[in-house]
Amino acid sequence: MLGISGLFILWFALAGLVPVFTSQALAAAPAAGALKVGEAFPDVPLAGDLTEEQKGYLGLSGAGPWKFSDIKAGHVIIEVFSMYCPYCQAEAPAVNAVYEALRASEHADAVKMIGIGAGNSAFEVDFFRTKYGVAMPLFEDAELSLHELLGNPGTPHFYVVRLGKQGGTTVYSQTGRMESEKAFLAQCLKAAGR
Amino acid sequence: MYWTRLVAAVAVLGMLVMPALSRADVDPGQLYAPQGHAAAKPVDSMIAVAVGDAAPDFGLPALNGTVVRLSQFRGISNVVLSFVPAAFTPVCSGQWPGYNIARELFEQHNAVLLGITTDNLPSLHAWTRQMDPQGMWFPVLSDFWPHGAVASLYGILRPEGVTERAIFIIDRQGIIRHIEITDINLRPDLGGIIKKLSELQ
Repeated sequence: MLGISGLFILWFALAGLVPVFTSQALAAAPAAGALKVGEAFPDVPLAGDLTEEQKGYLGLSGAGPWKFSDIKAGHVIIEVFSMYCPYCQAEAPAVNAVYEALRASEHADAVKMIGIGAGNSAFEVDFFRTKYGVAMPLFEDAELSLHELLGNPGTPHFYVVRLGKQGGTTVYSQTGRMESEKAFLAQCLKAAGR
Repeated sequence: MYWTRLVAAVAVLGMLVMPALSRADVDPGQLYAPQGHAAAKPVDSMIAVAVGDAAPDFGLPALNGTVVRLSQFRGISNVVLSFVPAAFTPVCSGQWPGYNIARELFEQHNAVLLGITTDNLPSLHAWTRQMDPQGMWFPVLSDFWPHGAVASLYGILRPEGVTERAIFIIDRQGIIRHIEITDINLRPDLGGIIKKLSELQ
C-alpha cells in the first residue's frame, strides 16, 4: 500500500496533473522539482510523428525514437506542454511566434526548438499540432516517463539546454507563460550565450 | 464500514486537491491535507452495464438550467458520457479542458459529449468557469441528487460518493458500444475514444 506521500507522487506522476503559474512574478521561478539551471539534462528518448522537414531541421533521420543528444544544435529550447492544459492552449500562438522568429534569426542553426507533450499520446500531440498549427517538432510522452525525467515540471515549462554527448546542461528553466514573445526569445538566446 | 469509507473518501479527495500544493498562488491553508490516509483503489465499484446493453435512460440537470435526458439523442446522435470523479481537480488535471478544444472531433463523428460528476450545479458552474471563462461547449450535468443515482445505475459510484473516471460510448440506437473505466488517477486517451467513435460510422 502506498503512503500518503506515495499517493501524491503517484498523482503527479501518473495523472500528469501539472500545475501552472499564471502571474509573471511566479513565472520567473521554476516549479519545485523542475530541473534547475546548471543541472544535468537527461538524454531522454524522443518519439514523435515528424515530417521530413522537421527531421531535417533537427538533423534526425529514420522513424525514431531518437535520443535528445541526436539533435544537431548547440542549444535546444524545449516547451513541456499538455494538450489538456488551458494555459498551454492559450500559449500556443506565442510559442509558434517564437519558433518562427528563431527560425528566421541568425541563430536558427545553433539553437533549435522542440515540444514535449507531457502525458499526451501520439493522437493527442497530433491534435494539438493540428489545432494550433504548430510547426515546431513535437514529441509524445503518453506515459509521462519523460516528464518524470525532466523533474515533473508544471506546464507550460520552458527549458534551454546546452547539448552534450549524453544529454546536456540546463541553462534556462521557467514555469509558466512567457511575458512576451520577444523578451522570452531574448532570454533564451542570452542563456545560450547569444 | 463507515470508517473504511471515510478514510477512502479522505484519500481520494486528498489526491484530487494535492496537485494544487505546488501552485504558489494557492493559499496552503485552503488545501485539504489530512493526516490519516489509505490508498484509494484504482477502481472501486461494480459495473452494472455491459457493451451491447441498452443504455439505461436518465435525466440530469445541466448547467444551463435544462434537464438533459439520454433518450433525447436516440435516433439522432451518438453519445459519449464522460464521468469524472469531482469538481475542482486543479485546472490542468482535468480531462475536460482537453475535450473543450476538441469539439470538432466529437461532431465529426456525430457524437454528443455529456460531462457528468456528482457535484452540485453551483460547484460545477464555478469549476467549469475556472477551467474556461466561457464554460464548456458540451452539457455539464449534475448527478448530485439523489446523490450519484445515475452513476449507481451504471455501476460506477465509488463508496466515497464520487464516480469512477469513466467513458461510455452509446450509439444512435441507444446501445452501449464501449466502456472504459480507468484508474482514478489516469486520464483515458482521447485517441482511443475517437477511434471507438469512428468505428460506429
